[in-house]
Amino acid sequence: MTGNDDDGVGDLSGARRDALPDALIERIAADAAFVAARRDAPAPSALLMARIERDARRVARTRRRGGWGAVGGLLAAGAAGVAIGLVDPGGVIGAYLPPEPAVEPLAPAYEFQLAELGP
Amino acid sequence: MRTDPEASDAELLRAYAAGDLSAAAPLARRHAPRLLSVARRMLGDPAEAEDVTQEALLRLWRIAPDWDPERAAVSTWLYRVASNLCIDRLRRRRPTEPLEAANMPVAPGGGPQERLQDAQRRDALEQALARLPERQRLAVILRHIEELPNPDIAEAMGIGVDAVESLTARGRRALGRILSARKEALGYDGE
Repeated sequence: MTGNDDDGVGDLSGARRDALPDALIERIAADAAFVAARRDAPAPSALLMARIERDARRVARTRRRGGWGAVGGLLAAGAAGVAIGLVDPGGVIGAYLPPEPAVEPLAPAYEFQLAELGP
Repeated sequence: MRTDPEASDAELLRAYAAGDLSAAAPLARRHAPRLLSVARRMLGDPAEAEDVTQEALLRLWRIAPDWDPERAAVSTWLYRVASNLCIDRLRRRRPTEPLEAANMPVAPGGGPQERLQDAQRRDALEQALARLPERQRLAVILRHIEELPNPDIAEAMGIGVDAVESLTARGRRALGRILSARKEALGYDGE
């Protein structure tokens, strides 16, 4: 090994000695901060827990109402249809129909044309 | 019928969806503290963190009837929702708006000196975290404070495990550099 190599090794070990404490300190600093943060984890307040549970109740209530509401709507519509059919069969629909058929009789025109042609 | 409060998350959620309101409380007690912790450290604002926690759980209550336990764990899903809500809020903030230092309660235990040092370190961590890019911050919080395994973090953040490792390593190094600049004040040089 030459004198220059020795110098190089000396420089490297010196550099390592200088770099190591900083790197170590950085790791220690981060670890210590994480430990402190884990120890002091924030606890939800009673008010926050009450808000969360109120939400849970509201969502469940809305879902229940929505489900029964739809079933109730279908039942009411079905019952109304049956009732109308029994009380006034054809009356409701018949009221909206024209009083006479809208198709004009075509037979006289054909008779006239046939008369022109002759036997 | 009341569901056992010790039941799994999926069982409690199924019971809640079936109409057992008592199943919501154990789920909230189990997950709200972790969500609050992540949100508080992401946002640095206690009130906003509470809103994020409430909103994440509200979304859980709403999705309960359609919940598929095969697709995700409740905890991972909640972390994902809370993380996205935090990132949305951070992006809505003006860039010049400073993050408030969180006024977290000091946990009981330890002597006054130890508590004071813990509080100083925690505040220093809050400030250092606020200087990290948001995804790096989130990865560091989930990995080093919430101690989630990397695959869970990957799922919560919607990225690969390699990306999580890279984010946490860079974030941790950056935090170490920021914190070590205050090593005497925070008492790191004596450990």
